Amino acid sequence: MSDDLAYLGIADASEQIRSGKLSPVELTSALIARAEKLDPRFHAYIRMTPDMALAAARRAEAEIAGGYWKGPMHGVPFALKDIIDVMGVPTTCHSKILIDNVARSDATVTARLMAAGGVLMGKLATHEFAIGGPSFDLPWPPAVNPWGGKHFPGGSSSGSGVALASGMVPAALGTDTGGSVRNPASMCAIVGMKPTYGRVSRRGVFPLAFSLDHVGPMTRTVRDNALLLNVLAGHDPDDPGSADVDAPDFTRDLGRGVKGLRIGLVRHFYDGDDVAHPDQIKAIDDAAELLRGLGADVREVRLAPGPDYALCCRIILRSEAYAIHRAWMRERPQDYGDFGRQRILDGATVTAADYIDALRLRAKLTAETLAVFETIDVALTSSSLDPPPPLDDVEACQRVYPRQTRQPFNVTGQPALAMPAGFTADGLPLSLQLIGRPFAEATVYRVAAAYEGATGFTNRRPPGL
Amino acid sequence: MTRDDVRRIARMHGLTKLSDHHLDQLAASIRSNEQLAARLPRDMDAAREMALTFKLKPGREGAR
Repeated sequence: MSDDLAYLGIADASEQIRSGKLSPVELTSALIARAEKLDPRFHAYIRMTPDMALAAARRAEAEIAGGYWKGPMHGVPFALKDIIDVMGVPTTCHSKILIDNVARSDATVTARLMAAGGVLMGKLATHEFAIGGPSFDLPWPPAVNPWGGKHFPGGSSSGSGVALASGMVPAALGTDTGGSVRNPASMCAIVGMKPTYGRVSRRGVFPLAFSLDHVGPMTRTVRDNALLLNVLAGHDPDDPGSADVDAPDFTRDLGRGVKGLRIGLVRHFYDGDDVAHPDQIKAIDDAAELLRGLGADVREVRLAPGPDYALCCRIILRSEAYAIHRAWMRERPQDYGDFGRQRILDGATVTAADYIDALRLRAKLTAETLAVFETIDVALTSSSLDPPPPLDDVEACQRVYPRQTRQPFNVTGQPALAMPAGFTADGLPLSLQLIGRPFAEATVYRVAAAYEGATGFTNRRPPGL
Repeated sequence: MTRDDVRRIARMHGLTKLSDHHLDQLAASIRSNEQLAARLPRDMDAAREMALTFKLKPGREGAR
């Protein structure tokens, strides 16, 4: 299979499929073959569903040939983080605890993708229960980053990042409670969007922390990401956190450029409160200059210190996660991996008063943050503070994991996108993060598209692939 | 904090099946939570309420 087909994105594949130049069956077969060849090295998949995929591809092919085209995902392969339900398929959460847990119905996001004609390729690796990793003591190995050989791919949506970066699939879903869509996007040089809290349904997605959980699209380009969010977004009365707001066409502003937009540079997150790797600092400062050169009004702004948001996020996440896992932790503590057990036990002794105070702090931080966003359209800052470390260097992975600036926007619920911002001299990905006002994903995509068009970083492929 | 102290705390929380290694992990969690709690602001206004995400749906009683 040529690299052109392996790295064909949603927009291009869809155009070729609609015009009859590419068969969904041909594309699906090619990606199954590629995954069978590459996945023993990268471990992106926990479980492939090739029979389901080929059946869906044949169905799409017949529908499109009959003149019934459902939209950009029709006949296009996608894969799901294995905490998202597909009826009849196990949702393991990458854990021994749920190794035999067969889903009885589709998650809302699964149903939406299938109704749009998407072709499910399988279930992707995650950190155990989207919290504890990377781990080598689980029923499946951790996913490996195709950038740099054997490096950490970020997490917890690790398989999603790896499958995209290695050309195994053009679309994947991740979840983001403390940064888990944007971390693998940053480490694997892809595009990951955490939409506004409530924008995308979480029904049928195994929870980590109810008030911080988001489902988000992961793709290789900005346009593909907006196309995927078009399918996912919308009110779901079966998700108590779902927002009853209209979903616009998220591609509407992609070509508008940034002239006149006010972009706030949150520099103290990566060169003040904490200090990022020098290449990472330079990459974001360069991005600010580039956007200024494209006509944006780029100005430095100050939010609350990064550690304040992290403190708030950690206490809430620990508490809510433990409430979900308490019964298993009492009965089956030995069935968790070491990292997963540690992270979940972290919530066992948080006091109710501390949890409430963290929620009160959250209200304060959110109000202060949104006040700053009254003066800007989009914020630019770091996502990860470091390039990916070697996966087998456990201490380095654990050191790098919390060195991030994504949690603030789980706390506030704002839309936040991570994307590639260049590469180190060793060829490891660097990243940046763009944040918008609540429900203003289209404006975030607008800035991301302008930056992507000016840099071409999303066109780079891992060496040898 | 001794191993017995940690075991007692574990029992209080219904965690009676933790191994010695698991108890070491719980001890680390307890220390970590103490450090986090110490950093929470103590000067928040008493009227500062927690963030609530629940909203009434249009058409239900009391909704606006």
